[in-house]
Amino acid sequence: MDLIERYLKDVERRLPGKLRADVTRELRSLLEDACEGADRNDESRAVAVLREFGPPAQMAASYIPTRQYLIGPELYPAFMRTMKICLTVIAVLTLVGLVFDTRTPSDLFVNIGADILLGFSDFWSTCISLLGTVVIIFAVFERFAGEKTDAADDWDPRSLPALEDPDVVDKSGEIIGMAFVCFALLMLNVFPHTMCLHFTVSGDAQVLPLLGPGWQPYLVWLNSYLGLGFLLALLLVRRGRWNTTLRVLDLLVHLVIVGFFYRLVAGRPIQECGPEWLSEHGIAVDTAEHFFESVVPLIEFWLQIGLVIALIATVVGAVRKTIVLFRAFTKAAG
Amino acid sequence: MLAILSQLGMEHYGYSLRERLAAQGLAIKEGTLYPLLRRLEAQGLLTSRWETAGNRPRRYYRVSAAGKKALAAMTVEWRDLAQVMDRLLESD
Repeated sequence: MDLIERYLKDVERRLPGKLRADVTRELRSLLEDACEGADRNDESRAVAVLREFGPPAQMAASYIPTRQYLIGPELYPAFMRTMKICLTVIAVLTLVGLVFDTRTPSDLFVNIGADILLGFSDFWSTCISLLGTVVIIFAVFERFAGEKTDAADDWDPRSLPALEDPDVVDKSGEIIGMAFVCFALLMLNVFPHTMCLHFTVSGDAQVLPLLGPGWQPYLVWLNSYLGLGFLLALLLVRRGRWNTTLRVLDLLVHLVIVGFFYRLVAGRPIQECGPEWLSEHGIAVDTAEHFFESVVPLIEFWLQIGLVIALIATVVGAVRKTIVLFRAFTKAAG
Repeated sequence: MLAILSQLGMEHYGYSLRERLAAQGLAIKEGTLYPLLRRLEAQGLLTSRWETAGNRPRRYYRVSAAGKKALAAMTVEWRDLAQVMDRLLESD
């Protein structure tokens, strides 16, 4: 019956969202009817039934009115994969570009908020033009090559993609995460002075540490989150599978980051380092005062927006983790 | 389409309809029959409802009022066509 589930999953991912649940439910019922009386472990029966139903792409296509789509069920999964890869590359390049800009001595000091905004604006306009280009390419493929790939006679249901087990730990992902955590802990606690903002004032190069004294109370939260996250990742890599205890720990660790962002939103870390602190870092008194009058409100505004978005995202993450935990509990009890 | 409408005067779920048609000599592939039922429903010729028998939910289809009219019209067309074809074949 694993084959049936794999077949349903493969059909489902090729259907438009509005048809997905209903068609999958009906197909499940029809497949169960067709396999009725067969031994659950009898794969040959499931193979014979699925051959009669036909390849997933063909079955999904027959539920969609012909030629009323730009990208059909055959190419849709490849289209989604391409979009995900391209969007990730664009996001990384935009971020790298933004960081590179702020590390290049310039008059960015007074325009940093506007630069971040421009970075986002560039990101969205690139995304929209990318979406258009990829859709056109796939639509052309759809017209000229979309229907030639499914040979129903040669199709073997045993070649269906395996189902993903939600309890299996992605070890390589966890190890990469642990390496990142070590790097972040090192940067935040040992080399915080290396994270600086480079800019010029009246032609003179200036360097300002990003983490001022107002940052210290928040560092405890971030260190706790990173440290606990590291321990959890270590446990996950050792065990290889999620269980209820690990999911509870995961939720608790996640709540620490929710607390961190909540404290950042509620607090005002930037204003706590006043013009005196800037003067201590080699910035002229009048420049430091000008900075706090004109630039700090701008940075605070954008920072506050970013922090609120991050807080909402972490709260949503906590809710999702709670739902997963509740399901795990229900599954264990049932 | 005519065969399907003719058998859905009483409710059937997909698998039982396919078995019924096959028993009368008309075997239709699953990949053709089941999506066709959905399209006929979308055109308003069939109605459907979910019912759970035992622990298995099934979708039952039945011909609608519009489907009955279409069935009557198609039956006349089919009989006329069949008569013409019979005459043509007998004349050989």
